[in-house]
Amino acid sequence: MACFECNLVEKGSAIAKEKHASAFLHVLPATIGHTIVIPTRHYPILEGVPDEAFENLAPLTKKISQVLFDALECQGTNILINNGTGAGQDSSHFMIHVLPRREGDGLHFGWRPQSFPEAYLNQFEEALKTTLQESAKVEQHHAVEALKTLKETESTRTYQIHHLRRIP
Amino acid sequence: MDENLPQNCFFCNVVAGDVGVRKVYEDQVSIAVLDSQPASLGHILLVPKQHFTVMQQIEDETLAKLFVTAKKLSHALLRTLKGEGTSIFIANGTVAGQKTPHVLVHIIPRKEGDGIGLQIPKNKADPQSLEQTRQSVAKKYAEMFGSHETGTEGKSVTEGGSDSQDDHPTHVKSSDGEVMEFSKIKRNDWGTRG
Repeated sequence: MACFECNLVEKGSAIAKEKHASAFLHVLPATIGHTIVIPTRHYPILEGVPDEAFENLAPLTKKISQVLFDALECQGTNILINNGTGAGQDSSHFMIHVLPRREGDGLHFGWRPQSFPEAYLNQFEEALKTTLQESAKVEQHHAVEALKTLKETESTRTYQIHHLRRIP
Repeated sequence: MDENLPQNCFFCNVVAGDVGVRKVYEDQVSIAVLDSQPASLGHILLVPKQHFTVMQQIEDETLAKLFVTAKKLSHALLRTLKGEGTSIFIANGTVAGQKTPHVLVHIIPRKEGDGIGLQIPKNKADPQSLEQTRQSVAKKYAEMFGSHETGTEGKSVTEGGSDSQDDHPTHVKSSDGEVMEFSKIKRNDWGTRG
């Protein structure tokens, strides 16, 4: 069974559409004009959204933000992704919220700053950097593999072209 | 003092390396630092190198790169902290809570009951006014960026030519090839993925 957001895509009530992304008004809006930008295909969480689709969500999010300023005369916008149940994600379809903001709209996003011991932060910083380096290595490996495949495809193509040339 | 001048902007100075920060990442368009006033352990500020006041000023290509970097950092936080989620937050404009003249992307590790005020309230809306808003926003979008087909778009659902159950996978593959199971994520079981 399709999820709620997939049904929205199917119904075609989108405000805007890009190749891999669509924008809809939230049916239970936090503020007037609350819009969600979603990948057209179903991905539950950010980590599952391919970079290609996520890149497509960026300009649409920006455009929606611009349009909300102009169409609804808001004075600001918040872009918010709550990713994972721990962040309060309650939809099974990944989404980016674009929230028009106005003076006195009753919304208050914020947090109380925490402090941590320096030694603890040092340790965390090192651990995070290690994780990022590991991911970079994996990415590099994938890039090398992709390049190999590309070269193989190209050599096949060259072969095909040569082959064609031989046809009288 | 005009904070919009690069020499006066705190985050332009951070980018220039003139301020002592915990820098965790850098590429051509952005740097990422640990927030000195974090909402939670691991709170990252992703800072575009060029000075932009609000997100709308960022060119598409740079913004796309920023988004992908935010995703990468979010993923690294989840793995490092064995976390339950992240929030990615941008404030455009003072009324939206923007406190710096240099637009920032916050990436905040989250867990249930952490008390971080990023929950999105849900309000019942009158269907008629909702439809009115939808039309005026869609109209403005078409004016500004050219129209898109608003007809029935049944076809677009199976974009990519797939009509299999693959549209609702229970396993998702992250960009670095790691396979994650959604049901596990639902159970806040990030930890097992190391």
